[in-house]
Amino acid sequence: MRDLKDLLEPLGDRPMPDRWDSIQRRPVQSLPEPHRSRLAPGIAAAAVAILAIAAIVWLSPLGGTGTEPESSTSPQPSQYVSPQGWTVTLPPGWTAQEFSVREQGGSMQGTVIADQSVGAPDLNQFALPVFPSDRFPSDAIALVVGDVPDASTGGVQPAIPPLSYSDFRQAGSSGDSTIRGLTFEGPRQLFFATTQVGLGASAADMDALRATIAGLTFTDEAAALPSPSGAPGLPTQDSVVDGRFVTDVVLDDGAFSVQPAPLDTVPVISKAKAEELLWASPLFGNESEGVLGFGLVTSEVSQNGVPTYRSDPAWVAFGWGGGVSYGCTPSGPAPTVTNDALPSGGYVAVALIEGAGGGDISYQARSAPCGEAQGPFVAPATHIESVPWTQAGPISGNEAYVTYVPAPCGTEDSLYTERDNGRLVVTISMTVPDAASSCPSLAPRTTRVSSSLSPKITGLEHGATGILRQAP
Amino acid sequence: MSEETRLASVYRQDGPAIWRALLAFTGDPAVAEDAMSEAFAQALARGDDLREPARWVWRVAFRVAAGELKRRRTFSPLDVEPAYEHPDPIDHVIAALGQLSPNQRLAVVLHDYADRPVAEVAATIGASRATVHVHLSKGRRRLRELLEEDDDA
Repeated sequence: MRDLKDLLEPLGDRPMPDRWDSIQRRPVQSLPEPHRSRLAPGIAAAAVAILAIAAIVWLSPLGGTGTEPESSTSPQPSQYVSPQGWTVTLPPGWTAQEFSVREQGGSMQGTVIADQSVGAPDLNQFALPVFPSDRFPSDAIALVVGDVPDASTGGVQPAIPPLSYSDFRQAGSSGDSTIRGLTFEGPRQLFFATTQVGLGASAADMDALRATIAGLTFTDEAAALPSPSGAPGLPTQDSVVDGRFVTDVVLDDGAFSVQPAPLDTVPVISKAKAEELLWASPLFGNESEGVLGFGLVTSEVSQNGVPTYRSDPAWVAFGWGGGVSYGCTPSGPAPTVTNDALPSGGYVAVALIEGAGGGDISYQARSAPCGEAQGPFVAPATHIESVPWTQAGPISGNEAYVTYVPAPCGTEDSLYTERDNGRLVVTISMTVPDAASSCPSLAPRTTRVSSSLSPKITGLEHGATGILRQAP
Repeated sequence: MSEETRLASVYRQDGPAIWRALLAFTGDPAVAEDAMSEAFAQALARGDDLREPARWVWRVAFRVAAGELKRRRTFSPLDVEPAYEHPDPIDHVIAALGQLSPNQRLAVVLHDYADRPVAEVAATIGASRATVHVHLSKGRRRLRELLEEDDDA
């Protein structure tokens, strides 16, 4: 195929209409999306001052990739309310510090409650929040409460508040401290709590920890049922409140649907994990809008080895808005059917179905991309994943070879390169089934990477690895 | 140099390239022209706040155009004058581009046609650079398939 510039060369014959005079008189409208314009000087100065104060307040010897936006401490007992709706009474002098970490082991958002400053936890290889021994004093005590960091609860039945410190199970150690963990159930989601207790912690502080854990409750607001916001129909941004579907969403007259789940049905998989996997589906590379939530999914179409499902709890992501179609070929027959004529033309969904017999499925509603109705299509869900590579041999001229190990069950190996001056940034991605359980390991593959641009390549760099988000 | 003069210079220098790229992206001269005018009018309204007006106008023009296409969800074919003996192949190219997803089309047009860097495409789409690479790869592959189909027809 010829280069796109060559193919579009005739566009150069279409002169730009000179509208500069009218542009200068044109009234300005609201932009279609929020834009990050620079702040006005006064606001910027105030923001810098606030950030400077925040930096001084939060300066601590922390590593890791987390964020710690807020903390509170008081010499008197005080009430702390988390963004997720759980609340505890802080013992005098203890702090509550919110954090967000994302590491190889997973991601977690939550709050650290501690009797002294210990910063944000790291996630170890088991996605367990751990404070390294070099910044956890031997007399320190910390309670970490966050979303479930991994898709598994280890087969343990989640506890239901009120909680007891004695329910926490030994989960590991770090230097002179012991770590215990517990999964517990909230009104709308599961939480993971850990304690890290130094060998030298005082009996008084241990009593304070026990009292804090026993007093953990949920706010009335968190326990309230989200109110339905609309009639059954196509998905919209209003279909989901606080991560849960609050209206019936229906595609193809009910061939695929999601209903609100009862409040006592809570997801096992964390929302963060579900978002990471679902939004990485190649289906969402075509869509401009989407909504994701937890609900009961029904799928009546059985294709490609995917069974039907009825009212199964699942995280479900819907996408739509990618149907800007130019028609298939200008010279082809006039379209006889358009997406607008179909009940849910152009809509797609991916569901992460929990429980026995669960699986990840992708659903493409009956659509008419080329004037002819097709589908619906159901298949096991996939996601895009970038795999690591190593350079194989020296760079020769403007080319080199790289070797990578394909992801199990991965298909559609794709190579992307980008020049960064003399460096060539290389990303190798594959389409991988979400449920890649029984695939054999694949032999390493070697491929050539090259660039026709100057200057010559002096080195190779890695692009992003891991699961790649596709949704806008 | 006043901001207005600076933007006038951007309009003269970058305008033709933005215009052609918008045409390729939208397939509609009216949408292209309106998006470009809106982007420059927005830039003028922001005055000295724009540190890199050219880059800003590129980004905003394509966001405005994408928003307008999404609002319309219809296609107005490119008004290309046919050659006397041979049909201009550009309508096939534009039509093929139109079959890509909006993000794929935006990535391919901005990067492969208009030579905008991946980082800028990522900022326009609101995605990571790695995601842009995926859009580019899939868009190129799909475009190649579509144009080969056209050749075979």
